[in-house]
Amino acid sequence: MDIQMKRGLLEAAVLSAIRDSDSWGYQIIKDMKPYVEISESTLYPILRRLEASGCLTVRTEEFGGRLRKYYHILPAGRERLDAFREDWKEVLAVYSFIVREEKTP
Amino acid sequence: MTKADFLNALAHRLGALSEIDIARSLDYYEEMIDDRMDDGMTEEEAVAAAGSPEDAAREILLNIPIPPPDPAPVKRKPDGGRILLLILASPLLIVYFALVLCLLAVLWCVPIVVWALFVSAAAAAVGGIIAGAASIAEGNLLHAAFYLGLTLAGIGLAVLLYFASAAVTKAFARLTVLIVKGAVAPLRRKGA
Repeated sequence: MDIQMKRGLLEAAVLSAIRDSDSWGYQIIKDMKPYVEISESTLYPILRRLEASGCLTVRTEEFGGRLRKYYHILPAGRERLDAFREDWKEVLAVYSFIVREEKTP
Repeated sequence: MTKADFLNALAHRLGALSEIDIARSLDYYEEMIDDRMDDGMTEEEAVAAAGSPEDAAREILLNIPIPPPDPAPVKRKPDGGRILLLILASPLLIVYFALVLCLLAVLWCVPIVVWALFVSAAAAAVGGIIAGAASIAEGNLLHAAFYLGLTLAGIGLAVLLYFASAAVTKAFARLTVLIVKGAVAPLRRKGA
């Protein structure tokens, strides 16, 4: 898949993973696994980018005697998901054109 | 590979990042490995699942900007207002400029003396003419000849002294410019 397209898709997927409730790194990977495989090395920069762009915040909480980082979606992150949904309608329209059946001569 | 080995290897490769970014990256991978172990993996399996430290470091370095080196101190150009403020603000500087002014005053005594000699010679010539005319009127030709000689000598000296005065004045004007520049130069360096 095209790198830019994959990047956009993964960012939206990560935002979607924390949309309903705050989550942590490993849980995000597990939740996404049935749909898209993502490694921790791929996830980490995405989380950092989303944080830098104000789409999510990070807080550290104690869990089982150690610290764990929880990611919380911000309004900008929700707007990003809405925009993704809108954009995707256009993508689907172009897709249906690209994959239309060939006319037999 | 143990978790500690993995984190050490990763930290080693992230040297270019800021300390905060290195600590955050290590925290992230440590948490991931711990979560996988809580999920039932052995330490080795959990570390293996995190991938190689090389790949992890490459991904981080590609995506997290490396902090620029400390910017060189900005050199400010000295401006007139700043120098004036320095002068007004410091009594030491007032003393300094007073000394420079004294030096200039002493130096300018030399051209003043040369000009004074020129004026004296010219005055002697004028005096000689007047006295000579008076002597002729009295009929005392010996006195008149004496005053004529005095007048000629005065004119000759005056011409010579005029050129000497002009040359000395020019030279001292140049010297003054040099001294003033030299006196202000250390202040400019201080103000920069």
